[in-house]
Amino acid sequence: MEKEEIINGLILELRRGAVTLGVLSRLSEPHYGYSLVQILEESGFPIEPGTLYPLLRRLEKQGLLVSSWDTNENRPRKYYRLSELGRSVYNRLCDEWRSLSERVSVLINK
Amino acid sequence: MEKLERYIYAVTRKLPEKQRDDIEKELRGLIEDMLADHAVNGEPKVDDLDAVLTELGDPVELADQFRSKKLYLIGPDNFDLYFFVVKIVVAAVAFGISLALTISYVIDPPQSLLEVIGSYFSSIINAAFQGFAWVTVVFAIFEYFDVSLGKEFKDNKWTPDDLPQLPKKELIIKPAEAIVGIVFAVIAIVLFNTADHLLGIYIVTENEPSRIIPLFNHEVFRMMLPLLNIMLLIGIVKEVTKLLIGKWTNTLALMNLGFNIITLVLFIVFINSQGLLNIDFITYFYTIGLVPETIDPSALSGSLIKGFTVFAVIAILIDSIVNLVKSVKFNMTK
Repeated sequence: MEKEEIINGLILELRRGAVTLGVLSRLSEPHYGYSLVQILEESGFPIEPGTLYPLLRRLEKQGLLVSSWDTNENRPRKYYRLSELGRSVYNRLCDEWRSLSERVSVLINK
Repeated sequence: MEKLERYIYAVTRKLPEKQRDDIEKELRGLIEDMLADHAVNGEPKVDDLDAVLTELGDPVELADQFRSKKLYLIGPDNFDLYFFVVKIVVAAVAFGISLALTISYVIDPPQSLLEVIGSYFSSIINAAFQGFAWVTVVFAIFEYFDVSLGKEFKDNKWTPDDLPQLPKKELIIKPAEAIVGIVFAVIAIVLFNTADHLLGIYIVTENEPSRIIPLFNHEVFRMMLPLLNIMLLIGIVKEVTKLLIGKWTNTLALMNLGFNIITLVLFIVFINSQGLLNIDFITYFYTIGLVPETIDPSALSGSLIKGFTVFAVIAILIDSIVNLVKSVKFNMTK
């Protein structure tokens, strides 16, 4: 039980950064929160709404995302997409991710 | 759908006002979307709502996520300092009350000792709780406005040169020194606010019961009491600053100077207030023959006030200079 808890905690830490990257990767096109939940789930990258919604707000506050309300549909929805800053940050993060995963692969495969 | 409203309320009620509406709208949309997903055919049922809300989880945790920080009355950043200050305040209050009650017992013994002991414990517990409550309130306010105490402000990037010198022993401020100062200030506050008649000349004669000639005129003293209280509170703030900074830095010396100037001004206003000195106190000097009758009482009272003022100026000057010298020494060791 305790071992499971430790593992879960560490997995959570590992995932934390990746989640941000996964979310940013889908937001070249505007999406609202729940559509992102579904898209990410279909891509085999499930993320709970309770994590995603606050994350979207944080990223918006940091200026990586811009949002707008669409009130034309039957329920109002808040659409998020990458800002200029968000796009360039995302590209940098992708480079970082690739080199990190390469180096970690080298380490753990030896 | 009442549960939906209750859930949204539970999440948003502790969130900052500005974000509340926006989050509420977004959350409502989310839950409705999830419900629609759950109830593929037809209207969503109560079970579906329960399932969706369970999936979203504890509203308190969700609110924490939105706030990205937990709610504390007093957070981990300030807790150590808070606990430290509570201990000092409670100890000082207990000590001050013990002293004040002992003095009043000696001066004016009441009928029953049991009564004294009873009132002693009830006043100590009462006052300790008050002190505790006030410190807690102050720290809770700091927490609310996100003030982090005890962390020094840093503008520049840290380099190893910024490491503090191992201070010479005499250049560290000993907490005991400051605590003694705080204790005395608390005692003084208690004394001035409850027993100013005890300040004066004690006349002990063999045949008559001993009596006190108070130094101050009670009415005028009560009127000017707020000034004294402010002075003493400044004194406490001064000592707390010493505790917080812990070393004789320039900043501390300057703050000390500032506090001292304010104190001096307040003292001069206080001591010069019209009719502050008790007439009996002035005439006492004549009755014991210390002052010849030829000197006018108002002139005598004037020179007494001048004496007090000079005394205060010298005391404050010494304190400020000692502090400045210590800070110069402290800087030379850097």
